Amino acid sequence: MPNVKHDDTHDAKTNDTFDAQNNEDVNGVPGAKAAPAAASGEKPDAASNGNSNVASNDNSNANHNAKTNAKPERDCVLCGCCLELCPLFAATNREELSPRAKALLSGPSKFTAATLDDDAVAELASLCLACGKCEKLCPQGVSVPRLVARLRAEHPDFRQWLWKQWVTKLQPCWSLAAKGAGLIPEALTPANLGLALKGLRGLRPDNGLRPWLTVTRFPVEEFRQQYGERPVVLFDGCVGSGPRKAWGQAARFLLRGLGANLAEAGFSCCGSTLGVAGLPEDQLTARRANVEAWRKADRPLLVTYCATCRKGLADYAAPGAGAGIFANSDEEALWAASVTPLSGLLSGAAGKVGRGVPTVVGWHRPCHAVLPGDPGDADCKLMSSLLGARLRTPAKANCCGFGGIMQLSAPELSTQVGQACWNGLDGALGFTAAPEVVSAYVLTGCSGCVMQLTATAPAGHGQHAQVGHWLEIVKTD
Amino acid sequence: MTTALAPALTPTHLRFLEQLFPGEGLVTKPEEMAVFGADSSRRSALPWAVVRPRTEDQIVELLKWAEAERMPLVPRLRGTGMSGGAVPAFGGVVVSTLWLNRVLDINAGDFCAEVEPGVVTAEFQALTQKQKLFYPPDPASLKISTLGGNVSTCAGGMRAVKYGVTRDYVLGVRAVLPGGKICDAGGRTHKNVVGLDLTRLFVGSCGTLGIFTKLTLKLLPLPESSATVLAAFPSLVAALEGAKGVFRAGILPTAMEFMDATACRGIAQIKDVPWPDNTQAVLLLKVDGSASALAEDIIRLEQALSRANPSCLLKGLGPKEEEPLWEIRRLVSPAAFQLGPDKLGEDVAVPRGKTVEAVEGFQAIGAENNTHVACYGHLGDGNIHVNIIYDAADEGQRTRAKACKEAVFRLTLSLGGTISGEHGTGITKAPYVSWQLSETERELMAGIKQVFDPSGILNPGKGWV
Ligand SMILES: Cc1cc2nc3c(=O)[nH]c(=O)nc-3n(C[C@H](O)[C@H](O)[C@H](O)COP(=O)(O)OP(=O)(O)OC[C@H]3O[C@@H](n4cnc5c(N)ncnc54)[C@H](O)[C@@H]3O)c2cc1C
Ligand code: SF4
Ligand code: SF4
Repeated sequence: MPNVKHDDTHDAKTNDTFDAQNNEDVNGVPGAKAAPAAASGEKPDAASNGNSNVASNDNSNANHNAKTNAKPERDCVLCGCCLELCPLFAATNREELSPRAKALLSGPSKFTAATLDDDAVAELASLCLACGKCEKLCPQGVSVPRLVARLRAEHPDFRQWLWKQWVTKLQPCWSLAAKGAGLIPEALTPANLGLALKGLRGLRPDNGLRPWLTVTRFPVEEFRQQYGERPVVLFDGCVGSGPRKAWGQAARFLLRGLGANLAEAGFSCCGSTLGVAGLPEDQLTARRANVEAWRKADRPLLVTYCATCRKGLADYAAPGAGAGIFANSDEEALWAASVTPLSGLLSGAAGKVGRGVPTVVGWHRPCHAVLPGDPGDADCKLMSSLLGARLRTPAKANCCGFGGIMQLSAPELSTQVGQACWNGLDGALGFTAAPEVVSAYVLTGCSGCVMQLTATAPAGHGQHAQVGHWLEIVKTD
Repeated sequence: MTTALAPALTPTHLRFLEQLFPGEGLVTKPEEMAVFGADSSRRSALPWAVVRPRTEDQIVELLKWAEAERMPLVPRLRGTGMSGGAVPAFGGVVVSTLWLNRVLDINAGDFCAEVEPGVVTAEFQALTQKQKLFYPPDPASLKISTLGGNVSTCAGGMRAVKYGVTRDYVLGVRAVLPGGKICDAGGRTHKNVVGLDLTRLFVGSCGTLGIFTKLTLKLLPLPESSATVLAAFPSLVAALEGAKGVFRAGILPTAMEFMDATACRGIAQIKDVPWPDNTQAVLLLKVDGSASALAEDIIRLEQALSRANPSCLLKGLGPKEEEPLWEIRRLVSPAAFQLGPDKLGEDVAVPRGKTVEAVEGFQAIGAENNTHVACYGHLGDGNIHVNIIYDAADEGQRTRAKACKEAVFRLTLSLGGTISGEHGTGITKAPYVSWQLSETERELMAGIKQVFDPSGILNPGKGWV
């Protein structure tokens, strides 16, 4: 009748009868052995400090755990700290989609295998956008995206295969495909591919934003002092080297403006989507190839303009990245120090807006914009220094819902999260309230976000949303 | 009482639920239900089914049916409770009320708000602040737990010393009772003495009396700013003397937190700390009010604390300067793990004047049992977090930790305290309730429960019953 299961399967006292007396915290408590309670009424995080006057609903503090918790990953203790920012949970209020549910299901503290079906667990836990917000909040160092990737790798199915086709095989024809959706091999595209296709179509080169920002001052001196003649290569990523070549052109224009000693290297996909999709071998292959290309180019400064690519590259030097990527630890450290966002190099630049500038411009902060150790979102900082009060950022940095493989496995959830994100942008911009004055014009710094925001943009009010990478507004003539 | 309850869900039951909760409103796959069976107490049990009402009408129908079928129901919000209140330990259908999450009204004229239970506390506070209004209860979980959960557990927080706990801000509760009747307790007025105070009965009832569908909350004007002082002392007595000095000076701080030597040692292992090595206790105080008054308050606060000869004193005016000081406080809990891999976290409370005695006693209990016992928490209101740190892999340590815990409870009760100031008894502390409440009180409570829930279908086995 009573059906208490201890969540610590090693607990010798586990039995099926619930007996409160025996189930004392020390003697038979679930999890007493597994892991320490993260919190006894103490949330080790965030502005829960008795501070009455700050509305602290942005997640800039989320990173502190990365600093303070330089500790190994432990088991989930169900504290729920990760519930704060999960975009999937926020958009659906379905607890089974929360990071805690995933940690519970895939961690060692899961219910006994007898009750749960492995494949069903993998499938459910797979419903994750890999945005990493939960990971930054977890006092135990649990990485749900990593757990999920592991589960996906253990339970490969057609979606992984599909995504692999998508990323590795289709990539060369992206720009073609994006020009005319008819060129996408429909045979490969079950109904679920609709959302991803929509995003891809949105990337058609002629769909880009019209540039209106002239850079009038480049921080040349600052750049020279820091990097001198060191060669610089640009990492274009799948979109920048495919359907949106304009990004790469603008980025090279800016680097030349800085006086950088530009070199080129033959990079492939950064590999992060592959890892998330549960394809660790393919990811490792991509990583090794990229490091080799960098080595060949004489280990230059490695400049990125997509937040997710940057994280993907920075992760090469993270623990557990995979064997044999680097020759030695010096090389690894040099790599870690070389991966640099373009916007950071431009800090101090000045600009002038020209004709065609919208009254207000929304900024969408990509989930991966701020990596551990970053002082903040460098892209957003650059844009707000260049655009001033024109740039509006939603109070809460919502995830767009791209989530790589989720676009294929659960497009309806991906869409739901995208809509929640647009609601946040609408709150900051007010395009629904005053469509005559304000348009839904949004910039961001990640290719996945551009695709997803394009695919989920609200239609109606007689106007179409315009979404683009911030590089698109930069005039290069 | 519980013996009469339905022992399981039959196919007929399931058909009823399918009809009442179409689509994603009903969850029956074990993988999807698993998380609904657990909460932050780390207890877990698989629900028989999970339902997600979108409307009050669905809850009314559910409770009519459940009463007729003697079907146990476990109301649930975000499952961050620390005592197993949302765990279906005795079986039953979990009722996730997270889809009832609208803020219905925030009214600056009435100084009150009406909300559905699923609203996240911090999100609600952010909304009130936009209108220069203030909802003070601030459990450390405010960003991850809900107003409904806070009301159901009567959550406390750091501001309790000045502003009180959740109970002090609940003006009304609308709840559906077993059988489907709706009880509208209290209302929008700040005063109300007509009849017995049913609202208060619902607050802290842990889902055992009714399922909330709407809460009416009291609001205050938002204070303009705040300031913080951190002071370290070479002895516990000096620290508590400093705290007394603050009250004697006529200052009522917004928060008054303390950390004992063990807690300080834990923090020092993961962070550079501002206090000297011989520190035995640290006080952290916050005051709020108008910016001009604060500048003066902080000087008075400094003077009051100085009489107790602190070995170090730091202050911060405004959130930016205050933040690094509170960061230290928030590290206490994770820092405890520097001293051992496992811990028992208790949240006892004693009459405020007994705090020194209690903390000294808890430390002595630790010493006697050769176990790390870290004390910290809400000094201002006598609510002390006692962390008993041990290694669960070691049988001897496990036994000693349990001995410590029971000794802590005994001492607390002998000082006129309570075994739980905030987290509630749920299932984790249920066995100790009889240590604190006599037969008479427990019978009265059981009688009240009987009136609301004659068949005992709501959250069976929880709390005091
Ligand atoms: C990191 C952390 C820090 C914490 N800090 C504090 C703190 O400082 N102070 C403090 O007091 N607590 C604290 N807690 C405990 C916890 O956050 C509170 O108990 C909180 O109020 C629970 O809210 P919830 O939304 O998670 O509700 P749940 O845990 O889901 O439910 C709590 C109780 O409410 C009942 N319930 C749920 N829905 C309804 C409904 N619709 N109608 C009636 N009853 C219902 C449930 O049956 C259960 O008994 C902390 C917890 C964590 C994990
Ligand atoms: S994953 Fe981390 S933050 Fe989330 S419940 Fe588990 S321990 Fe807490
Ligand atoms: S990675 Fe993002 S979507 Fe996935 S569980 Fe964590 S917070 Fe949610």
